[in-house]
Amino acid sequence: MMGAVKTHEVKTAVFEGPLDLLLQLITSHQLEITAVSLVDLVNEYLAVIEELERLDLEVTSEFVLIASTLIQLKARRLLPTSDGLDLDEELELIEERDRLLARLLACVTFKDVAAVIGHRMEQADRFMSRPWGIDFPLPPRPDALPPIDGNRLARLATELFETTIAEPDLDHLDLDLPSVADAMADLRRRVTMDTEADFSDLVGHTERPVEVIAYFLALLELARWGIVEVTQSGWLAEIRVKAAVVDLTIESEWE
Amino acid sequence: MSDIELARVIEAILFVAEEPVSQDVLVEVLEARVEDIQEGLTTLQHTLDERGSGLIVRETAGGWRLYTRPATRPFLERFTVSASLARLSNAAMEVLSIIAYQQPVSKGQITEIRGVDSGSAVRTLERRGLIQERERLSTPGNPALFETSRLFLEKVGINSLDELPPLADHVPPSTVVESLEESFRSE
Repeated sequence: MMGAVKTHEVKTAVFEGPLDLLLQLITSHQLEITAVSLVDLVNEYLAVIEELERLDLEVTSEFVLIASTLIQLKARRLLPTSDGLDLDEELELIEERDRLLARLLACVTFKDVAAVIGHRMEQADRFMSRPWGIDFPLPPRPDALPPIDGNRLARLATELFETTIAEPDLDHLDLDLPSVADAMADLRRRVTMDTEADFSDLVGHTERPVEVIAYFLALLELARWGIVEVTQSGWLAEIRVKAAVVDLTIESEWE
Repeated sequence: MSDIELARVIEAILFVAEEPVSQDVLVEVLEARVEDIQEGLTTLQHTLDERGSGLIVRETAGGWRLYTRPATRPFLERFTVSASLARLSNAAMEVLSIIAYQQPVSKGQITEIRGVDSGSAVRTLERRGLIQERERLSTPGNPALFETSRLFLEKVGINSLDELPPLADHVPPSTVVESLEESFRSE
C-alpha cells in the first residue's frame, strides 16, 4: 500500500453496476489516504453518473437510489450540526447508510470468495473425465427397429390414410370481429381538415378493446395513404388526428 | 473377490460411468463390504500410479471417477477443442458464489446483493449445468430459486458444500470495514 502511485483513478467506465462503481472509487482512494473523503466520493460518483447519462446509457434506478443516499450523507456532513434536525429523518438516513454499507460489504465478500472458487475451478479443470458413459442417448441402430412385413406395413398405411384430420370446431367462439373498413369509413367521415381530433375521442363510442384496435388499424391505414395526418408529442401521449389536404380515393387492402 | 479383482471391476465401472460413482453404489453393485471397496479403490490408485497411467482415480462430488492425469492436459488440449472450457466471467463467478452460499436464492436476491441485473449470468451458469432450479416461489411472478448442481461440486473439486471455503474468511478485515464506515459517517 505504501508508496502506491497515484494513478489509480477510475476514469474509464469499466464497472458493473452502482455498487461496483462505489467500491472502485473507495479502493482507488484507499491507495492514497487512510480515510476516504465522503464529499470527494460523492462528487466522483455523481460525475460518473453524469458521464453515463451523456453517453446515453441507461441509468438504472439503482444508480439513482445510491446517489440519493450519498447526496444526503454529503449534505449532512457539509451542514453544521444543527439542533433543528428532524430525529426521524436522521434515523432514516443512518438506516439507509448502514444498509448501503452492508451491501458494500456483502459485495466485497462475494467478490473475494468468487476469486477463490474461480481458482479452485481452474485447479480442478486440470483433470478431465469422459463426459458420457455407454448409455449416451444415441439413435437406435437400424437393425434395432422391430421387424415388419409388407402386410403389416400396408395395414398401418391404410389406417393412417383413413384417419381424417378433423378441423377444430370454432363455432363456440363468437369473435364478432369489427370491420377495419367500417372504421376507416367512419374515421374519414368524422375527421375534418379544420380541427384536430384526439384518437381517444374518436374511439369514445366503442365498447370493446378489439374495436379500438380496429380503429387504430384504420388510422394507420389512412395515415399510410396520406388521408389523415397523425401526430403524437411523445411516448404514450395523445394521438392527434387531422384530415390531410389531399383527398385520394384509394381502396383499402383490408377488404 | 481379491483386491486385484475388486480394483479391476471398479476400474471398469468408473470407465463407463458418466458421473462420480459413490461408494454406496460400488458396495451395492459389487456386493462387497465398504472396507473392501476402499481397499479396491486404494489398489486401483496404486496400480494406476505404479504403471504411470494417463488416468487417475479421484474423489469429487461425493463419488469416485476416472480423470486424466494433469500432466497430459496440454496434449489433450491439442487433441480436442472442448478440452479448454471457456472461462467464466467475473460477473458469472460472483453470481455462482452467491448461489453457492445463499442457496436456494432467486434472481432478484442475487441482483439485490450485486446491485446490478444478473439475469444473463444466471442463464450462462444454468446452461453450463453449474446451477439448477430447485423450486418456484408462490409469490407474484413465481420467481425460481436456484441451487448449485452436482457438476458444480465436481468442477470445484469438492465433495459437498461444507467443503466450500468459509464465507467468514472472506469478509473484509475490520480495518477495511472501519475505514468504510469512517467515510460514510456523517458526524
